[in-house]
Amino acid sequence: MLKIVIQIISAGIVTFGFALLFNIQGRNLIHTSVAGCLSWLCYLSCKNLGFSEEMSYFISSVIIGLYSEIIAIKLNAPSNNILIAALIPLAPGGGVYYTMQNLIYKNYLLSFENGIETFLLAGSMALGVVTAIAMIRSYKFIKSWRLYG
Amino acid sequence: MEKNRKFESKVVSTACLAGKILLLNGSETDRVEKSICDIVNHYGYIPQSFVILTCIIVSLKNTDGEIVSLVERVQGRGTNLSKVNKVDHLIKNIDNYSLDEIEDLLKKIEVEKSYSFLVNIIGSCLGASFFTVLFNGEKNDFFVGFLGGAIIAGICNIQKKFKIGLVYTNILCGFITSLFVIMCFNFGIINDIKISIISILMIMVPGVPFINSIRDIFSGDLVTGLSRLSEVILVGCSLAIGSGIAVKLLKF
Repeated sequence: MLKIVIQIISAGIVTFGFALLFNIQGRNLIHTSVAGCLSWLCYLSCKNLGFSEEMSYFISSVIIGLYSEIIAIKLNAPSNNILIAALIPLAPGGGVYYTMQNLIYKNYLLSFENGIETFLLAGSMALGVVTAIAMIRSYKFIKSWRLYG
Repeated sequence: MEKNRKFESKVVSTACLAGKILLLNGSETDRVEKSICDIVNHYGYIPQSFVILTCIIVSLKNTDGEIVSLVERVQGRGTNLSKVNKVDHLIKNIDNYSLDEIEDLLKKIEVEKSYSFLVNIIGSCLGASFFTVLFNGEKNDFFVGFLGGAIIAGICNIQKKFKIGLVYTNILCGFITSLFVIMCFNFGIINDIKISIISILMIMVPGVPFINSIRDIFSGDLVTGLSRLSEVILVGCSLAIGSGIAVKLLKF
């Protein structure tokens, strides 16, 4: 349990560091760090619930996308300011490394497997972000339709 | 007539400046085009804008049917999301300012300095060291990650002056990082090179182009989206090549 708490807090610190690299300033820094904690929390809980790796990436990026869009509407800021740094802890860096390592050892089949896996993880992250944006857009459309229609 | 023409060209150049700041600092294409059109629309002209990753084209049509247009080449992209935030905020409150004030504010935002080198080092140290915790690393991995973050921030700062291009910057970063980690392994500080190399190279991961390319492809700007995606793939591959060369040379 303590290990999980430490991991979640360090995901927040990782996000904070990357936010400094991306030159995010002011209160957006705090919001993006909270979003980073949230992303790792979602990922761990999805994994504990028994979802596959791709599905947990998808679910956590949908949740982060929704969170950042909602916060962006409240703060009147572009949602990219919060979304990008918060998704960094989920980046599939390990997969790229294993692909490279297996290529060096001439284990071509294994490296192909790792490469496909990395590609799927990145794709499910992308799909999650897109899903969140689409959900927010359709919500805005329904809201405006109720007001004026 | 003459005065009108001057005003129109000023509107176009201000809109183009706003678009340039947004595009240079890591905004998605959709937002750039929409901001340019918002500024031109605010003064009652009919705007058209076309933005790709390296070029901005703006044209406006006034009520007499005359056309003023501007083409601007944009080079040297960086990442400064707070500038994007400020320009976006300015354009949302465009009613409160006159055209001269907007131009002055945009010029002020353009020359604004980003975080200093020291803050950059702190950021990459924090990022690289706490990533080892997420990969279930040990205590010594944490310290190696901390030092490696400082090294990679230094390399990036030096290479900004040399301008040797995207591919070689990343190959060199991957190579030096892996060399450093393998040296630590040979001195017996860490038990495994994997976790430290992955955590340190995470600093170079192209997060901003990746998310922007997804957003661009989603909103229909296929040209820019695909070119950003090619940038992501290029950076990832060259990082892998660089660290692969180091691992292969030292026969791991």
